[in-house]
Amino acid sequence: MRGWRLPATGLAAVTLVALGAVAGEITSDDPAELFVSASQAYESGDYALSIDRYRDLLALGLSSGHLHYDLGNAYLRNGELGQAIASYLRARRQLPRDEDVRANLTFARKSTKDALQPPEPSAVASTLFFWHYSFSPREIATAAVALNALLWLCLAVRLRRPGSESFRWVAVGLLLPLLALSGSLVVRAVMPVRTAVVIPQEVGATTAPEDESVVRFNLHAGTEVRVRASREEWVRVVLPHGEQGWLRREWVELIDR
Amino acid sequence: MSRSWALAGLILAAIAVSAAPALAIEVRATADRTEVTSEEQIILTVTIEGSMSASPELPPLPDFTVFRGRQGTEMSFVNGRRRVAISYGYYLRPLRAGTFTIGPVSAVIDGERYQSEPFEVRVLAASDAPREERDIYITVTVSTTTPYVGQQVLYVWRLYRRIRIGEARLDPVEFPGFLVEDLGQEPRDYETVVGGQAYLVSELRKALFPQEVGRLTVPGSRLSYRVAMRERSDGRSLFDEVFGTTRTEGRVLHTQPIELDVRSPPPAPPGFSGLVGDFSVDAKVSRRELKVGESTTLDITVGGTGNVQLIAEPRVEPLAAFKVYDDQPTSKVSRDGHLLSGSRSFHKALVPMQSGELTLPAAELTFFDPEEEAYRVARSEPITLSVFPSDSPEDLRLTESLAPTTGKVSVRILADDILPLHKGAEVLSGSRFSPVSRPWLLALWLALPPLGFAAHWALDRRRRHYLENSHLRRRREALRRARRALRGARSEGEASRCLRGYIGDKLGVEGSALTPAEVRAYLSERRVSAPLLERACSLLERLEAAEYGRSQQGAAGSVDDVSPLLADLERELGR
Repeated sequence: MRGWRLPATGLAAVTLVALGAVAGEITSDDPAELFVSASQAYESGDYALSIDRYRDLLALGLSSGHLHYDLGNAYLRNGELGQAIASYLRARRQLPRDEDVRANLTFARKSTKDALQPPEPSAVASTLFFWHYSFSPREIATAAVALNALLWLCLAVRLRRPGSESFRWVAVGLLLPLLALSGSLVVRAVMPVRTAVVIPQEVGATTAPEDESVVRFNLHAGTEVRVRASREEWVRVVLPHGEQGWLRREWVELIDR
Repeated sequence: MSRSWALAGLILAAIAVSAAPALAIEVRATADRTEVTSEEQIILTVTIEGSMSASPELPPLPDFTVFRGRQGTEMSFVNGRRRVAISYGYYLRPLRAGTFTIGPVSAVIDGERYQSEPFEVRVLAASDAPREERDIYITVTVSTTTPYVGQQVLYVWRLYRRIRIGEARLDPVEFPGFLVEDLGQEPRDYETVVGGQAYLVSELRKALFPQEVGRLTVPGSRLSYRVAMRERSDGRSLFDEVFGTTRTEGRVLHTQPIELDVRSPPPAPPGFSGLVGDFSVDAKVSRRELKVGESTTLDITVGGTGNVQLIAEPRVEPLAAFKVYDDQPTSKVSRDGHLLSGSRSFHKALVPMQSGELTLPAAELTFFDPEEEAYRVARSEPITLSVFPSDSPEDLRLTESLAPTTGKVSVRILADDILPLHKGAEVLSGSRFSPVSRPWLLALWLALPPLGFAAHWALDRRRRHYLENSHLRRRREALRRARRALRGARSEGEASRCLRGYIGDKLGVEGSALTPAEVRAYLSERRVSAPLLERACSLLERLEAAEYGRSQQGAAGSVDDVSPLLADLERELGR
């Protein structure tokens, strides 16, 4: 992987888009060129090429929510509903408050065949633990690092000035949100909520993780189900009303919330 | 004594049961009746003798619906031989008339397959019995078997009964190829007389609208119920009549499917509304005399029989002399009558923009009348309005003239699509390798501040300890202070005080009053080497001698010897 600088790359990308660079065979792994090529392939209707270019960007280590959003658009235009919804979910993980991501995810979900409610947190949970659901893991981690540094800085200052009451209250005020953010990170690490998005047009969920076992129910492209457990080649999914079945791992995209 | 004998007898009987040879293994299948109508059911009993664990395997019975019944076990002794049997009951409900073979029923016992003897049952059509002689029957009628597409077909299902039934259940009927509207509250119960017999009738009515041309089938229905049967007794007595037991028996009633030949209407004229049935159009206004700028409400009502859910607004010629504000239409659907009927009213607020006699043209609706087998046009009467000039200099007074909801229409989403790509620099802004993207990196970032705090705390504690311990501070700063004082020393006396001060700081005593003998004693305690000890004491004596004028001999250079001595003493006394 070659090295590159983010600000310069971003400016280069915008400039190339503005100048209308021609999309064609891309041999370099320059993110700006790949991005321009992907956008222009999308605009010209060559969605398969656009998907390839966006995936190349992901392979270079880029993983912004906006990139997943664009990839989701390309997948949706190309008729790959399951991959589109999976990409939008990845985008939402990084951009949980982005209106565009929410709108396109809602649009894509209208095209799913199965009448199943996607696994979403309850209104009570998303209100009580708003920081857990309204902020991306990166935002929460960054905030936790900053609050942690401020907290210890406060304690250090108080060490020098033992008589200062204000610093003690500031430290307590920093400690509470830090505990909340840390709890969110721990929950994500220890008890991750994983969603499986069905990719093929139709798959059969079996009673056991074996190809020969009885098919309990069929799921269709784009359907989101909660993952209860996973084995090497199989994942155990559960429907909203409690029915469970096994799906091959290659049939689904797994998304952590 | 008697209890002992009884106990012994029981033990012997148990031994006899277990030791008695069992009868041969056999599988039998029997039916309570071998001739039934399609409205009755057969109770099939499969008995397996000689095994308590085997279960029967029924043959395919495509002409019956099979339900599991009771199961029982039996054990007895026949001529000293033990007989065990297990019986399984099944209810067979015929699906059609005819003669059918039941069996063989098989069971696998100890690895060997045993089979029952097959037997035949005869199922008679339910209609073989005259309807007037029957206690319960169903009729299904449709208003026509040759409807046009979209024409209303009245479907009436009636259950006639003059016996008491229970647990009646009508299987849901699907009508593929039809739009279905329920008529009335279901079911409707009433009494009637058929063939001189009084019947209680339960009636269901539905309006069917065929949606395809060609052969369409109104499927048959199926009603299951239970009827109470009095147990027959050979010796009928008064006791039997009064206290005789009754049992209930499950039965099924079927109706036959009805074939419809759905026809296509003739080619439609321009403006055909798509309605099939009998409709009329009526128009009225709230006021016929008004001034320019005032409003009147035009109500156009389309009513009739047919699929009123499909009524659309009739055609009206453009009203050029008016400003027109459409309101939400209102609908009425009547399901209680003989057929599905209703109306839909379209409301418009009209504001004349000119004075004079203004005519509202007729509203027209083209529909297909299946009774006349032709397209018809329903028209409202034209309406003439007398519009007078406005009193106000303003031409229009829309605010005053419009009803609260007039002119407002609900926003409809005409098309939907995804939002466009993100093309800014933010797309390329995310790297997987951010400072918090790895758990260990995050842990490191979180651990750094407390580690820094711990280091800061340790240093601070050490500093405070140093400040609070004057002896330690004196000892550590002894050399620096001595050298500083030595730089300003101009006489042997001052050099002597520097040296004694240094030794005093190091040893934690008052240095200025130290004598060479005390210095020797203190340094010896601190295990200073003998040559250095001699050197220090000698130098001190020489400096004192020079200071107090006892000897100037050998004093030369003594001041210069102080600094190296301090360095050597620092090495041995340490910090």
